[in-house]
Amino acid sequence: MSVKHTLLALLYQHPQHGYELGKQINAVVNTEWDVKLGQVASTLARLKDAHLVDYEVEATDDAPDRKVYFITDEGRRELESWYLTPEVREYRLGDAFYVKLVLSLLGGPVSPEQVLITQRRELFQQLHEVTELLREADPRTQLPWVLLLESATMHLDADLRWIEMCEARLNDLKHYTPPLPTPKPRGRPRRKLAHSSKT
Amino acid sequence: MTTAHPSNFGSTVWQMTLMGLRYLRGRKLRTVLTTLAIVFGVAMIFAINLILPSMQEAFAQTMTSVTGADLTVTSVSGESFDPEAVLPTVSGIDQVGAVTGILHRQFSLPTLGNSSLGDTAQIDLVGIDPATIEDVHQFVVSDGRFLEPGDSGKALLPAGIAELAPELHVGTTFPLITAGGLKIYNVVGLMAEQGDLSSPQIYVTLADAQAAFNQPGLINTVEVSLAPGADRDAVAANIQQALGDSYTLDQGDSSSNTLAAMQVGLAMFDVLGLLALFLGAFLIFNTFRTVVVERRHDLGMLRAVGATRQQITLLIVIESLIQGLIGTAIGLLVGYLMALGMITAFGQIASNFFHRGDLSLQFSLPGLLGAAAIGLATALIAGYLPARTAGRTAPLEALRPSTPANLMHAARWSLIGGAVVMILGVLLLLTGKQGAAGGAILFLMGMVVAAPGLVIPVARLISPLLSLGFAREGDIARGNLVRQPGRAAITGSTLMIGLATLVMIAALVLSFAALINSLADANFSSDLILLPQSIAVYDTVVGADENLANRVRALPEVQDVGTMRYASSVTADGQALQVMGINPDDYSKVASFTVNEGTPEEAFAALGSDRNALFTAIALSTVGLQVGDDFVLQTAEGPQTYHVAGVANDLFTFKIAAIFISQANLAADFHKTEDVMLLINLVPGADKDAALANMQNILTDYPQFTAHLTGEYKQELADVTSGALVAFYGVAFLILIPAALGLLNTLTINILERTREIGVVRAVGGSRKQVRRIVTAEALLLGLFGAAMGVLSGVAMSYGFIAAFGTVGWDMPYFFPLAGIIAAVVVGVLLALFAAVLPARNAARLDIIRALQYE
Amino acid sequence: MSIVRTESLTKVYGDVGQPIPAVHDVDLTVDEGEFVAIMGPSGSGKSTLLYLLGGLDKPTSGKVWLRDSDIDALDDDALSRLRRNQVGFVFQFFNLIPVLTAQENVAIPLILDGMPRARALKQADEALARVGLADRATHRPTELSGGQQQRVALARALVTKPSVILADEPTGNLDSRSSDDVVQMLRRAVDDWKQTLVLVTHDSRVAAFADRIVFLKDGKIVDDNRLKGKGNADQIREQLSKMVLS
Ligand SMILES: Nc1ncnc2c1ncn2[C@@H]1O[C@H](COP(=O)(O)OP(=O)(O)OP(=O)(O)O)[C@@H](O)[C@H]1O
Ligand SMILES: [Mg+2]
Repeated sequence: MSVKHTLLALLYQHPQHGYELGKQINAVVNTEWDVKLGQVASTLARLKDAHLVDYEVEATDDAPDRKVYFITDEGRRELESWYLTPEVREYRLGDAFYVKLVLSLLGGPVSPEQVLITQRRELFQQLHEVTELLREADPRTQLPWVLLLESATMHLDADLRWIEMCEARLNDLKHYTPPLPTPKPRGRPRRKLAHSSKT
Repeated sequence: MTTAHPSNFGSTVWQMTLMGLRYLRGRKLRTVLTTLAIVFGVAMIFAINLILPSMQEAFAQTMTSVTGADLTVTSVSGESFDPEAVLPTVSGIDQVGAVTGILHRQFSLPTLGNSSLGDTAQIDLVGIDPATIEDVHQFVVSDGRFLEPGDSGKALLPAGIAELAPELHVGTTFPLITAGGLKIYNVVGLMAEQGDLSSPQIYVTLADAQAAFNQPGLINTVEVSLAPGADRDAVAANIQQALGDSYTLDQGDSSSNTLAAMQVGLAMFDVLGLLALFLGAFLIFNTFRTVVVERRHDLGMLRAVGATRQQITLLIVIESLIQGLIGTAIGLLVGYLMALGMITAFGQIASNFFHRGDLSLQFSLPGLLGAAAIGLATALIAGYLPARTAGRTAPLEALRPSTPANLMHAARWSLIGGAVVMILGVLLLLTGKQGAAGGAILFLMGMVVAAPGLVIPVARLISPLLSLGFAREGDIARGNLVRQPGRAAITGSTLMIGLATLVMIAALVLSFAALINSLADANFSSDLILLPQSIAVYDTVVGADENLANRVRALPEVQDVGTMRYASSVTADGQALQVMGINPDDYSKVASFTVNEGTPEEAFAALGSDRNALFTAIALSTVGLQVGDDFVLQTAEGPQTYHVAGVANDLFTFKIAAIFISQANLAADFHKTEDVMLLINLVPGADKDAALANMQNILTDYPQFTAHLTGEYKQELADVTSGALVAFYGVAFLILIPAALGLLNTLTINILERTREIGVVRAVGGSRKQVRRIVTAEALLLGLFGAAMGVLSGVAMSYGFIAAFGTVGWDMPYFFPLAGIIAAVVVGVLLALFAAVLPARNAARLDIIRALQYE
Repeated sequence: MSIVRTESLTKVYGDVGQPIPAVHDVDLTVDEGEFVAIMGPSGSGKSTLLYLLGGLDKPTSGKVWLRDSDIDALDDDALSRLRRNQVGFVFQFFNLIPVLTAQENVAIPLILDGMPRARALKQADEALARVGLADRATHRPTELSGGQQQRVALARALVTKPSVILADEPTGNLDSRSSDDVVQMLRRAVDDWKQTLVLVTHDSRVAAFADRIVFLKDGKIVDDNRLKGKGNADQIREQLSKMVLS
């Protein structure tokens, strides 16, 4: 999640004071995403250095002067190119359930079928709950919330479908023999390049 | 949960009617085609029923010539009798008031234009006894006077005659044909009554009438008036008892033979109408079978939401009834128009034939209701079977894609069943004359049964032929046809019936013409022939007394003269017979018979003695006698026993129930001495034209006769015969109309059903032309299929029916109807091509997108 | 109180040589007011089970009770009346009779039952109003969208106030949005109109509306999953935020 672009998008609407920006993030995006004010301030400073935003000092009588930030032309261009860059979805194959399922295939106290059923029950329970919330939500006043819930139903649906697929595959997996660990060459294994991902 | 409302059945029926209407509207073309079949059948039957009563009426009118009396007595045979045998007996019976004897006959006037009775075509000459008639009958004379005893050559006319012959007044004269030659009558009076102008009654004295008909001293009707307050039924019973079986009361139907012949002719059209309806039933059955398959989703859904089997059946039945109703209504209208057309055409014939021109349509409620009922019943019956199938639709049908039934299995059984029936039919055909017609029908039925099983093999057989013209499309067409063997079979069967009729009629015509030829050769061995106004209906003929024959005999060119006389009679059990009187010695010199056994000479010889009779074959089979039997004939002299001496046919009698007896017997038993036909042989080498001229000279006194050279007459006859036979072909083609409708219907349904498929063919690059050719190829295949079956069963039918005619005595030679077969194949193919035009064009024009979306 | 109950319900298709057990030894009880979803892979016997419950098909063995009647004991006519009065069907395809208007389609079970037409049509109007199609009463099915057609079918199922509504993939043909409309309506039928509903679906999101999900595999029940009320919104909100943030 990019705090930098969130701030740019909000400033695009109208010039704002740093404190107000911090509060608005939650209201708009409608998550538990809690952004510290300090993080807002430091990000604004970096944006200013990069000439993406600028500020005017607004004099007040009873309080210290406030900096009112506004977006620069360069900032607009940056925002535009951000919108037009698709977000890369991260596959969550490192998921704990995946490991559980694969391990159960090796044989153990619980059959893979049962593992799948258990997981499916949980996913359906979650889906049911989300669905109930969705039924209560009013799309006219709570659109971001509805979108978020729908995204959740879709993800849960995808997970359930994957489970369905796994279940269908189980017949094939019966004949699956995990590869025997091949003898390793002696000495220090060579280091693999780790993937680094940026958001 | 709702409660049941069993009381409100109407709500359900009404909703179903609405549904039916909308379904029908959704498939307009198909609805029209199916309905047309009903229209056609109902129209035929209704038209006949419109015409028949007016024909009957016309006859009835002609027959009610003498009215006004309380009771009339006539001879059972219809012939004249001696008044002394009846009048005293009747007048002696209690409560009888007055009695009078009458001799009357209705007859046609020769169409010569010189009759002086103006436009009158037919008259009823009534001979009355002026002394006694007025006690029985009231006459109001408006001008002049009534007849008086002793009058001769005096006539009393109805006032209405003025319309026909304006120049006739009291005091004027007119000539009238009589057995003794033309006779001049004086108009002495006009009656107030208008009279029946189609056959005006001309009153003359009894003596004049007896002279006119060459029946001196005889009467043919006794009129009886009752004493005041008498019990009519009791008196009638007493009279009947006193006179015995030879006399009948209140009956005067001497023309019933003609009427019966006419009814038979019209009944043939009725049969045609029924056949058309039968084919219509096929069409409806076919259509609704398709409908049920097509609509299985809807029907299944209705079942799923709680429709019972009966309700589904009802739905389809209602739908077919709607079609029946519409078809019947239109059919009645078309029938009316058809009848109008027919009566105009028929009126011409009728006016030539019966000298009556004023036929009119007669509405009869039973006729209307009958035709309507038959139309509706056809729709109902034909719709019911598919409706039952529909009722059996499982609710799950709604939810599954189409279920191709196992048709191959059914097809095999139909093939086996049909083959068995056909073999039975062939056996029956071969065993003999009696069962031959039945065998032919059985064969046809077997063909219909076997048809579904024949579709596949026959299609396979024909398709190489087809691939000559339709290299690629032929296979697709065959596949399409074979996919619905049931429908192809029904269509083929419809066509088959039409084409088989064509083949059969062709064969019959050939054989019939040959028969006529052989009869004509035997009959017309004479050189000249004198014929009366009508040779079909002797009842209305005024013949000639011996004078004519004598005068002809006296001509120098004439060598032999043979004459024919006529009387009508009935057998003891009421079968009508026409009695022909010949003088065996004279007649054998100028004509011959075709005999079934022995020689014509033996036949003639037999007539010379006792009360011997020669029967026509038809007469023998109608009466149910054998050669050698004795039988009782009602004559003017009471019942007389005759002996069946042999079987003989001639051209004039071969299609009627007639017997030949000697003229001596005819005179003694029937009091008939009029010649109704004269056959003349000339002296060898005589000048025919001179003879003809002399003859015509004599005939100026007997205008009822015309003289013909036999050779010319034979030619004329042959022309008339072939003309009549052409009408038979007309009948065959009429039957082909529903067959063509069936073809059109099936092709249309096939295409509707395959709309999606055609869409796919078009979408993947099939050209319009290819689509059209596929449909045409399919039609051709159907046409050839029907033609193949039609030819087979046509041959069987022609053989069977010609053999069957043998049983009624017409030994017709059998000719293989090669021309008919070729015609049937050609007609089948042409019909198919013709029926394919519209569907093929529609298929080719299908909008691809719409077709793909079609469900 | 149980509305539908089966005991060792078995349906075998095919001939003796190669029997296909579509439904095998199923014991299932559906209570009044319950919303049960049936899920399972294709060919697992979901539809077959549903047809058996609704008396559209006869079981090979075992029994089905609908309210207290043993439907195996009914003849065809009685079964038709039972379908008409006690069961409402909604299917995936061919739900409506094309030549009838929406209103008439809805009224057809009543009319088949002999209710006077005017009254049946009035009740149909009410049912249509419930599914939000009051303004489409006189339209023919071809003039309606897929979702609207399914709602008409639902109205038809509702109009007789049946003991149970059986729906076989009623949303199978619809996009997410229309599917949502239809299933919302089904849920409302259970919540507001106290109907009992058994629904076959492949769509988890549709099944999630149910109170209970029964899983079939090879004609047998492999899981019977009762879902508990709705979750804690705040807790879910927190979880979802993690999803967004991750
Ligand atoms: N009429 C039938 N004849 C023979 N077998 C059938 C018939 N109907 C269904 N089957 C078989 O019964 C089994 C169950 O079918 P059913 O239609 O109940 O499955 P389903 O779970 O509804 O599948 P889907 O999700 O694809 O609709 C399948 O193996 C099917 O092939
Ligand atoms: Mg299914």
